[in-house]
Amino acid sequence: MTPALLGNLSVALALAFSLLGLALALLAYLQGDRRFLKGAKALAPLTLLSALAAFVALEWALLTHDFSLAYVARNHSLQDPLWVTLVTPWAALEGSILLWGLLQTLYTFVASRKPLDPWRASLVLAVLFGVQVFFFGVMATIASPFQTLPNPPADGTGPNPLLQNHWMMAVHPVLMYLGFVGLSVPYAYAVAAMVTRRYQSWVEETRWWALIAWGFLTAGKVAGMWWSYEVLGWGGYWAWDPVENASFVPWLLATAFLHTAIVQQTRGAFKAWNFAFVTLAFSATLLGTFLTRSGVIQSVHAFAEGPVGPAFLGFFLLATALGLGLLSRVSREVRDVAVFHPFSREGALLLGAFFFSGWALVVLLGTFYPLLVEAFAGAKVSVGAPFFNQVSAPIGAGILLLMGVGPLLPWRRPRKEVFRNLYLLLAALALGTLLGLLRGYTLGASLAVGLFLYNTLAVALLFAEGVRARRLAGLSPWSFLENRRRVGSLVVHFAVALMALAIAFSQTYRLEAEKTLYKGQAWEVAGVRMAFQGVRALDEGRRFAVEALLRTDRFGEVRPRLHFYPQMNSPLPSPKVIYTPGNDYYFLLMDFDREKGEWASVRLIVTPMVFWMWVAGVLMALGTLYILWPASRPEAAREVSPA
Amino acid sequence: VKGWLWVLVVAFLAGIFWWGMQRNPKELPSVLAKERRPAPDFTLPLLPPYRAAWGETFRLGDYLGKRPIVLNFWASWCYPACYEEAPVLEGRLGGKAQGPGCSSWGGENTQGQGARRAPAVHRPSFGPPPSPQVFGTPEGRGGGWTTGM
Repeated sequence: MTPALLGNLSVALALAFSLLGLALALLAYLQGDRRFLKGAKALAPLTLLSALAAFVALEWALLTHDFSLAYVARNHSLQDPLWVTLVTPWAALEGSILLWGLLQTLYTFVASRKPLDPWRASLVLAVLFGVQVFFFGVMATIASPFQTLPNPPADGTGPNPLLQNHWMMAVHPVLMYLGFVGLSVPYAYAVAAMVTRRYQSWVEETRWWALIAWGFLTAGKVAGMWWSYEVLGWGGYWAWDPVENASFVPWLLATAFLHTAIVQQTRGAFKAWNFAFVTLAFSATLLGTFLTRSGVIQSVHAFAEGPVGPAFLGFFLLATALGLGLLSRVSREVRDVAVFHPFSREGALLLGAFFFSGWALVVLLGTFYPLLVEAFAGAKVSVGAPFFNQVSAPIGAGILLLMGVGPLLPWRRPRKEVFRNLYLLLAALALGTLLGLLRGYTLGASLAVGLFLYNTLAVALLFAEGVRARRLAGLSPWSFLENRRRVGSLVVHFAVALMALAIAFSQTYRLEAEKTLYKGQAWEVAGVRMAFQGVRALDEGRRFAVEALLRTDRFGEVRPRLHFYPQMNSPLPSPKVIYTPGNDYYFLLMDFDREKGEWASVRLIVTPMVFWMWVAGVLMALGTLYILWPASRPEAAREVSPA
Repeated sequence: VKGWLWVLVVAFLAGIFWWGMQRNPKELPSVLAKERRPAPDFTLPLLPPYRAAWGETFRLGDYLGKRPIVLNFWASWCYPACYEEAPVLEGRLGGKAQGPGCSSWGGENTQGQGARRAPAVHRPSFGPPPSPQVFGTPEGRGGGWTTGM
């Protein structure tokens, strides 16, 4: 048995099981025969095991340096440290499709265990097996991770150096895929609901899935921002790169769905919106993958162009057509008839959903605008960060405004006591903004301070209200913590407000300075005094590192580096970032004297509040986890009304 | 009609992306060459080895309109290829530059977010496509460009 044999066999088995599962699930639906459904369900763990075997085969090949596999020869070298070897399966296209397929079988397996009526269960399984057929089909044909080489090399080149340069890269792709794949389950439920014309219960049943997917997407995005900040060497965390955008869009749509789903659960409205959001969120994940794999749009994330582009395009179109086609078929039956009071919980949630979906639309338009212009006008244009920043600031501010007031509003129509809270909130907003202006911040940053204060007060009010309601009901005030959905969402809302404040300040007050220093020369900038003491070269086996020795007064010796990888003709920066609660100090070695090491060009970037972005990211993940914690389901899903 | 709207949407997406896959996004025609626009002026600090000959900073405007100029853009990380390419390009241009009013020097431009770096003299460029060499007329009108060696 060789890894190649095990791998090819496992992929073929997974494909066969998925095809069989798809056929059985469809038969179960068409024939109404439960035996077929039972068979389809039994295939879910088998596909999971096959996919796992394929993944193990790839790890096996990597760990035993089996360079007869093309994937190993291209992405692995004898000098890779163990952790790099272990994460190499998602270092390139074929392996990442295998990881995707593996996670899909895992989700399908878990979804197949959930109790559901046989009609919808068979449709849900059919959709999920269909997705698996696509991924394992791609792996078995055009992008096999187990292709062998006739003349295996003695050593390979190793994975993309960007992957080796920071441990975050081990985490970020897995989290993103867990999020992407997670959206397939709500999509499958939505399709089943539209086919069987049972429009209500799927929302309740998939909220858990949607929340899991959302949590992973959020964590994945924050991990990606962190990686970008610490590896790419430009001191930023978000560049509105097409692929960042393509993964931001499903996040926005999933967020919209999480909020409109509450309305359908509570008041039975927004059915059509929920179908649309889930369909578009899922197909947006495929669109993002298509973008990275096809070379349609230039991006730092783009893999080498291969034959998978057309396959992903076809699958994206199929998933979109299926969702939208079904929705247009049932649109008459899911239309909302009631008119909502704009000053009610549902009014705020609908408006919020409009903001999220509008944001997604604008980001998509900006991303594809160059392609559209080239197609219709023949000109090359590019849409840069200024466009995205300009449109995102007001939309983000609108969302922050709604986020504070929305949860305080009662369903149906406003009550009197709401207005007292509202005045309090507006006072906090005005006070914060005024304080910001008095401290000399820009209008945007001052507004961010106001919005942060406003949202913090809103969270505090909601918390107090919940505790008071418990006390009035004769319960322990601590029992409010058992309302996991409420408490968790408050934590996430607070984290979003904190993240927004951090983004506003880090974008507004970034300080950058660069200087070429000679040996012994001192430089004082941004409150830091540093002296350049020379450069040092280190041979680290798989790479060559050059570090500049900077003696600083505040942080001791700081050593920013440049890494030279044999497979790249340009060095990768490895900045030294010193996080403090106020400012981040980002030391970057730009260039150095190659002959004698007499001078080095050093850049210092001082950015406020970046530290708090990572704190906010962790809080978001913790808040989501708190809601999802098993003990809370399903009792805590019900809210205790404060009135 | 409304029921078929989604078909139009899907068909449109199919068309535009299919068309998009047929072309090379890395292909970039030179705007300067096409529109014959004058080169934008800039002032940048020079790297230490060139300060003796050229002063602390370099301003393009000071040299425009006098003689043909070769501007050479490349990224700061382009080592050692760009360094080693220097003598080759200089030899090529330098031979012709013996006549009156010809000089050549290198500039550099990193690809990253707004990271403009100091230009350096006599260090021509080599690298992946967006590090072009721009050739221009004395008035600074772009004449053409080439990439690589």
